[in-house]
Amino acid sequence: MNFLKMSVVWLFLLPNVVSAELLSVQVEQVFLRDKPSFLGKNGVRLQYAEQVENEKAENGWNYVKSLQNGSKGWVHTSALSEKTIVLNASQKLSNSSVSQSEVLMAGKGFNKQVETEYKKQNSKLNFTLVDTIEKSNRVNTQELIVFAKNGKLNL
Amino acid sequence: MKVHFIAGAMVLLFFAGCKEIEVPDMNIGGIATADIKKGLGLGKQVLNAAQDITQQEEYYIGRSVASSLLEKYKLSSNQELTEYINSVGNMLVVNSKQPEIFGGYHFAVLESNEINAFATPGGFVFVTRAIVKMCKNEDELAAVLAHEISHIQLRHGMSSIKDSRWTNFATTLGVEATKKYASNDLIKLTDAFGGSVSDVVNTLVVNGYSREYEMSADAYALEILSKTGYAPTSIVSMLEQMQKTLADDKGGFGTTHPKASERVESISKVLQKSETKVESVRTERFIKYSKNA
Repeated sequence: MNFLKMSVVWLFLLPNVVSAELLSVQVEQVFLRDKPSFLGKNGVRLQYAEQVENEKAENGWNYVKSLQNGSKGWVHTSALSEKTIVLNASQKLSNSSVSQSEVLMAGKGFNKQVETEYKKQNSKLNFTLVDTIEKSNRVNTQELIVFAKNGKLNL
Repeated sequence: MKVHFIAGAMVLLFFAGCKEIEVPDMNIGGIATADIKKGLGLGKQVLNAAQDITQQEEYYIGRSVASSLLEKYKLSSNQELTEYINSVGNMLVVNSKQPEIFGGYHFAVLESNEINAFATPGGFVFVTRAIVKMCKNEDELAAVLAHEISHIQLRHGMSSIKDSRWTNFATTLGVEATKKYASNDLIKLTDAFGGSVSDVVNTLVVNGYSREYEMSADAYALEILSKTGYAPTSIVSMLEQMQKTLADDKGGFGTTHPKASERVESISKVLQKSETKVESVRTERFIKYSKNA
């Protein structure tokens, strides 16, 4: 009888323990939003490789909790990876419970250092223009809301 | 009590150990992972290199591809038109399946009389002044941009990278990544990087994507247009307009894309009846921003 009682207790505790799914931010930066939509107000900014705990998911959005500061909010699923993104090799080695297939090494392979070397070899290429496009060709949420409303579009 | 605790812990450990890591089916670097799973005999190291390419790496390839395109084409300084195209592009992006990408999506106009549009891995989309002028309204422009966004999200650019690049890449990278590469490895990696950039640029500018890729980009574009609230039929009217305009054109888009008539035929098969119409307010703002294109 006691065994049965304890098993029931464990079964109630189980979802809370097992559902602590960890996800990593796979984009340079993303904001936590107060609702699962791009209309949602921006909250705390999460950085690349930051880990979050997934609390629930709906319609392509995840409600997550930042492991860094405990902030909660909605992030689009495409900004998150199931793989742990490791910023340096020593961090990976310290966590032996994570297997090779579950890990992505940030900054590996084609990175800033490789781009710099490529630039040296191809001095005719104009990366300043690419930087300009990246910095200036952005649209903020507020502008997009007005654009959608005026054009009778969905957001 | 101790026995019960152990029994409970065993149940817990059993469930905790059931986590399954599934490798999604995709095609990267010309390697179909579904085929690889069936065991076609490609090296495990190459497979890992192609599969584990991060969004950050795609972003760096995209920056260099964009830079190569800007060597061939002049960037437009028409700020009003550029901002407008970024608004249309971002409307489509937020209604797509992958609105978040490492460095974000960026749309730009090229000063060229050639009817053309390009999308690089990592989120850069370029449209020529001529293709903007060819469109009759915002919905047709959105159809052009949605097609390019589809190429990015379906990772067609990355698929154009030859298998041999991944072999070099995997050999150089080894098992462990470091923060900074030694000069020997850096040279090898830069060679693989330069080769990958060339493969993508050649596909975009010279060879074009396969007919299959173009048709799948059209089909996905249809979905994005529809979700955003643009008239899905605008993709057909845009292609028909292109067919007329390209009749005498011997270069650019005509050489890198299947015939517009073939694309219309293909898209018509999946185009469902839609009530969404081209709104005059959108056409008015399109005329306003594109008049000086």
